[in-house]
Amino acid sequence: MRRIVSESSKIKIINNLLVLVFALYGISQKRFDLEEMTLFQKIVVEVVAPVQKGLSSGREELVSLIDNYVRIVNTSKENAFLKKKIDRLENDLFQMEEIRRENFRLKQMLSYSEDIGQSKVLAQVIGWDSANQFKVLRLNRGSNDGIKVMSPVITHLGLVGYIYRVGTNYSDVLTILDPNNRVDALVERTRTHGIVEGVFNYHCSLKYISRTDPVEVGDKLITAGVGGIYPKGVKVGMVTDIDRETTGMTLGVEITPSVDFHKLEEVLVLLPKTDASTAQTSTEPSVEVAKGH
Amino acid sequence: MQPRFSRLMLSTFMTLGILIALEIGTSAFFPALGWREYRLAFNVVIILFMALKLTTPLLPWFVMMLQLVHAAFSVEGWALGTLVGILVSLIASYLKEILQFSSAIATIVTVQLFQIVWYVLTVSVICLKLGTFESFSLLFWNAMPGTLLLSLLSPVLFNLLNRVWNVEEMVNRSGMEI
Repeated sequence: MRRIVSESSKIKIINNLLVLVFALYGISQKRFDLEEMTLFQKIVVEVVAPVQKGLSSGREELVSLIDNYVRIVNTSKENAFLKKKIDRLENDLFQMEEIRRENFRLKQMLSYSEDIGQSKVLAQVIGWDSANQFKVLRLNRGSNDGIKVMSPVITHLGLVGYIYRVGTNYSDVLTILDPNNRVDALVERTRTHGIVEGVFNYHCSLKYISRTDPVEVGDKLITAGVGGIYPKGVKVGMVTDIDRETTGMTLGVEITPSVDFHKLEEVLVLLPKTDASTAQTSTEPSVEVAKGH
Repeated sequence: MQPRFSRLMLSTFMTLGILIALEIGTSAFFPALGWREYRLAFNVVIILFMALKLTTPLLPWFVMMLQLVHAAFSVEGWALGTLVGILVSLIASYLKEILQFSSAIATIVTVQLFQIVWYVLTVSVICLKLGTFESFSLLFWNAMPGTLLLSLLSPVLFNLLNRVWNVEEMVNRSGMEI
């Protein structure tokens, strides 16, 4: 018995060591700013993303289900019948309102996209990263739609992030809320350069701003167009707090992103310029509207 | 030997199925309902269940498999969770004798304590990769509300996983372990 236990312990130690070595190697190779999907990940994403998409696009039905049905379980039959009728009508109204809102958002997005002389793909947000430590969102468009890693992602309100990894029909965006995403930005008024980094709590910080720079609360930030990822002039956010008490040579500047990430539903992915020249035959910018796969 | 191995495989695939369903819930269902502030890391609780309840020598490989699936839902990747999962399971293996899950409260407290250990290790590795410990406290505290809710859910989840892994029965039959 003792021999069996000791052999089992040996196997356990060997297994632990083997997997630990794999994991340490994996961590040493891991990049939080860019990743290529493995075949296994691609398969899992292709299988589960349609479910995520279904849940995401069925949002109004889910909200309606919870609001309109779960709460009226204990009412009388007559009440239930009448309420159901009202619910159905309310649900129709709710759906129409949702369509109206979506229409408004898409119109804004389309009118904004006309100002950008580059091919782009309109995509829907279908999921968020399941770990708290990362601010990544999943789109319903992938390499089949021409999306490549490092493609910038924007909305009419401003910068969202860039494509971190791409699947065939789905892709993940590393948002500007994530500290692994660094954006070279300009303070619009003073033309001061700085680096915008995410700080996890739906805010960003502007780094490397000298204490002598005349940055003020309310100043707007735009992309500097340096670094080859983001085009110049896209809105990033607004200065909402400046910590002048900090020691050192630079200021602590808090930025609130222009994009409201709590309400983000559709985004524009800018395609690389080499693709833009092949995809765009006329001078008119083209936008593909996400109809779902 | 054969039925025991097939039973292990069946339990593993069922656990992966549960993980996928829960990951879809946390990455799409809750955000669709407007809850985007915090994510529930169900992979952590499932790995904690395995670390606390199973004594199979294949445990590290199970942890790796769970993290490989989790990596499809998170840029965290498989390696970080695997490393932390193994370290936590090593800690758990030394404490197994004094831990007990006789009541829901005991399960909640144990899971919460191990989740704290988990996030101290995870955030430390992330900070090491980022090259700065500036965000340590923010990252750590940001994870805490989710861990509290997960701990409250853990008795239900442990009960479900007990059935999947047939824990009681297997302990009794072998006298020691799965």
